[in-house]
Amino acid sequence: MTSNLYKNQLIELSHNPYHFGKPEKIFSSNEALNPLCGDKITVYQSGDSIQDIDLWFESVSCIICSASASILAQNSEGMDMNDGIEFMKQVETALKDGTLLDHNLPKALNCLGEINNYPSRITCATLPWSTAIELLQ
Amino acid sequence: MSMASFLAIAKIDVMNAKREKEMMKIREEFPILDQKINGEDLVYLDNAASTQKPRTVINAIKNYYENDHSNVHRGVHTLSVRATEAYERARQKVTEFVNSPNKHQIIFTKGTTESINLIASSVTNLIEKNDEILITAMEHHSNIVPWQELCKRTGATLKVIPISEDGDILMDKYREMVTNKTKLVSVVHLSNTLGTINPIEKIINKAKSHSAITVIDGAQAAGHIPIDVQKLDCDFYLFSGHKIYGPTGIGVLYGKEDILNKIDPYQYGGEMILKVTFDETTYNDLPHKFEAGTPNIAGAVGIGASIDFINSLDRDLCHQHEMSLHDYAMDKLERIDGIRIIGRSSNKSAILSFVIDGMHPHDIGTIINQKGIAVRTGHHCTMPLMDFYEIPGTVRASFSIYNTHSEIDKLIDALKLAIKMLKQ
Repeated sequence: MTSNLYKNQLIELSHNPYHFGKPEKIFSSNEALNPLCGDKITVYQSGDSIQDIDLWFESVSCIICSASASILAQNSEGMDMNDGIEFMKQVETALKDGTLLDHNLPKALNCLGEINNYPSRITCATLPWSTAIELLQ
Repeated sequence: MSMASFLAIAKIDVMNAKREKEMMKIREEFPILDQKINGEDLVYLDNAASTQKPRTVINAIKNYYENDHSNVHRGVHTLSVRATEAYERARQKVTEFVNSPNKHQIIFTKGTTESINLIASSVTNLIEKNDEILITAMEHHSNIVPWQELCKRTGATLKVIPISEDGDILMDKYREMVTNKTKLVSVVHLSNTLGTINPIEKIINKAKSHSAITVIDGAQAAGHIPIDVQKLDCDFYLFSGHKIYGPTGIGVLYGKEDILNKIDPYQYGGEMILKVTFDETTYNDLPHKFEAGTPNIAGAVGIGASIDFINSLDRDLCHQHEMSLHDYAMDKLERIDGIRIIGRSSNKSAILSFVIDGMHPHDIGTIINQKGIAVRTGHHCTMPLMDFYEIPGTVRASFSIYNTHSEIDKLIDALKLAIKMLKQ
């Protein structure tokens, strides 16, 4: 059996997600629910301020959502708030309209490049990004 | 294995094969099943969400639109008369299907959800502050939210009857919870997530001993269990067309005449009036009092055809077939490491919910779809029930008359491959 969506990299990321768990010091957090399936994610901004992004997350979610959150945490780390929000918005839009591979985005995101072929799963991928944007804004 | 056991199993296999041969003639009536999904034969195991439609239903709707369509009830021309006859004929079929004493006690709605909303809205004048409304822990959101809203409007309290780990209502607790404060009890007949068939006769009897209104959500049951509303003696029984091989957008509300006369209309406008002046309006008689606006005439024709279809079946044989599929699938699933069945009532229907250790239902569902297998994954609109089992959702395979044992073999094979893939 093959599934273009479930690439090894995606499965691996979901098994060993980056910054999974609560950070020692929480500056702020935001929780979101996927209304389609009831999955839950909480995104935390670690540290003393929101200026330099340092996101962590906890979730009860599918592979797509966990892997997507892991990519978010790793690739936004150290960005300043404005750049981070812009980056996250760009990724969220690209996930929704299926143009992820058309932009100059981190290669780690390529494993989600097929998501647009699975319309019912797009929210799984975008949930961490929309939750983080809401948190930072 | 002893010779006796071997012969017993062989006999069951022969019976299954014979029954399945009969059922395959029925399967041929469902054109949608004959197609490939992702290059594989479609295996449709999402029947609790919606059943597929036989040709007779599809043709009845097509024929109605090609030959008989017009608006109903007030037209004097031939097409309007034909449309009215078709619409009211469908009501008569529903009347007989649930053994309602009268045709005017059958109200057409959009579906079970609207039927529940109609009741929850229309009984507002009968519910007071400090009254109690009882539902169970296994209800669909559509049998939770309308009552929450009714409680907000009236100051009544919503109470939840607990269930066991196996997925049975705790009847002792229920009996304790029914008091003189209980004004309404609304219970699902057959759980869409667990497959549990609830003892609604006992539930209704107890509620009636305290004069509570009884509402039975029959969305899942109506296609599988013969319904006799007079025998049940419930105040309301509700179901949807699309879960009994009929079209979407049409549902049924059966109600007792006295209570239907006592409660307020749900919506206001054309059809539901007898006389309108700018000063006041007199409402129409039953069933029209609850059918404001142009109804879903084609939907009614469709549900009528679906009832004809069901009546043409040997329902005992269908039940045996569905349960044979359920038991076969349950046995195979239980042999897979890490699978936990959710819903183990001793009185259940052909719905099988399960979770797999460390794997999310959505991932399983997406992967097995690559093999053409359609199952439902997620919370099945029963989030509080998911909370009870402390799971985000389940994979749910729900069987119908047209499914086969070989389709279950395909499900099991696909599940094993999905597990292997996700474990890597």
